[in-house]
Amino acid sequence: MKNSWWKILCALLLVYTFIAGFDGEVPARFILNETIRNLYFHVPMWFTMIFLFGVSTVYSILYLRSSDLQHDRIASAAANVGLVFGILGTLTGSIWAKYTWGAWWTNDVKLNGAAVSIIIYIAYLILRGSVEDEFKKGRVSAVYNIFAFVMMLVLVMVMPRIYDSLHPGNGGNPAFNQYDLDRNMRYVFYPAVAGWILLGIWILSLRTRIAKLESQIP
Amino acid sequence: MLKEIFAMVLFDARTELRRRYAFGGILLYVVAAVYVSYLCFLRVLEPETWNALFWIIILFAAINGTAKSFLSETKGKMLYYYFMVRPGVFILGRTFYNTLLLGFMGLLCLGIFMLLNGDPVSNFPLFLCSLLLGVIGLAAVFTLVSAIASKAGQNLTLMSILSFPIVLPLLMILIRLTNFSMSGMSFSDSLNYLLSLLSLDILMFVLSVILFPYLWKE
Repeated sequence: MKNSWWKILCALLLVYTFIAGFDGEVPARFILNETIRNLYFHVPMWFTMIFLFGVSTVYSILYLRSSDLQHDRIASAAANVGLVFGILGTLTGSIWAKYTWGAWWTNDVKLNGAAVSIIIYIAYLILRGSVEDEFKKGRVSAVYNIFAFVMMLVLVMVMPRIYDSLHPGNGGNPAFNQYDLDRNMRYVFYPAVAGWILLGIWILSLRTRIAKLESQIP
Repeated sequence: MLKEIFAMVLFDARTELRRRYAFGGILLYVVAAVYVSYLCFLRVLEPETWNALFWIIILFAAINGTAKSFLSETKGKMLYYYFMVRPGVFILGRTFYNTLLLGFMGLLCLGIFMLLNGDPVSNFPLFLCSLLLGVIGLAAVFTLVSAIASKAGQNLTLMSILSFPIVLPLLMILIRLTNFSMSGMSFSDSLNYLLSLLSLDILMFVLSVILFPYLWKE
């Protein structure tokens, strides 16, 4: 019980996110209307994904230095969970785009970057599946993971800044910084980000423990 | 260090020339692919089509040309290299050699492509510059990924699965640059893109030198 305070906090934060997110005051904006509430769900999904992929990369680096299989398990589990958050982020974004841009998908740098980073991590999982030996699997996939993470950062952080984009926050489109001037949204957005990231860590720790138990089965 | 790398490049070039079929195969692939595209259209292409076809042919030729740099190495030969050269020198030598190979191939492809499918490029120096910078990046990614794939079952399919998503940021910039050179933009207009291409190339080189030693040990 002593070590599970953050799990309780995570549950409370997410309950708060859902209640205040769906029922709280939001500024009325042209076109956006109520879809502005997606800020509490779509944006934290991507933050959590980047956070988890970052964790995965850090543990890949640690694995290369230590050859400790536990590090490899964490790296692999973090990539898996990050991928789930990435797919959720794409789905929430796609639904939002249908009601504001009028299409499920557009040929936009940010969207392409998101799609490609999901493909990169699927490739990582395929690579893991194709090596038999545990230690070799860890080393080879760690190398790919580090390379992939850097390329993903280029895709989702750098590319949208040199291209024009329709996405909020790019090409003169307003991002959330301009919306939450009335502060109401800020009070929900930050707890939402913390809640989703904690949920990601929670699932990650469960998956790591499952992987460790599985490795002990002869 | 430089001398060693030079010796490595020379060694690779010599082995390549000795087994002429591999090199000839790639040349034939380029010529055949360009000719097929010519037969499909039989007229001067629209700039967009030209661009797409050109880069797809280059991409596949590059993957075929560089895949063998690790995939066709036997275990004994790798062991020989392991005792002869340092890992940094080895990967840099291979990457430089592949850069030369792809550069030659790219220029050849460009020549035949322009001969058969017309020449929509109005700023030729810009096009050439981005082609050469692009080829450096492609060589760096493909060489490292080929080393990764060779550790995971030696197959070409895995190599394309792993490298296509990673190479995409590079390709996005390249396609944008060739579009610029077709619409007659000047160097100073596209300086941003050229610089990001260059920094991406440097990033890939640095990453492959750092990461390769971990793949090296069996």
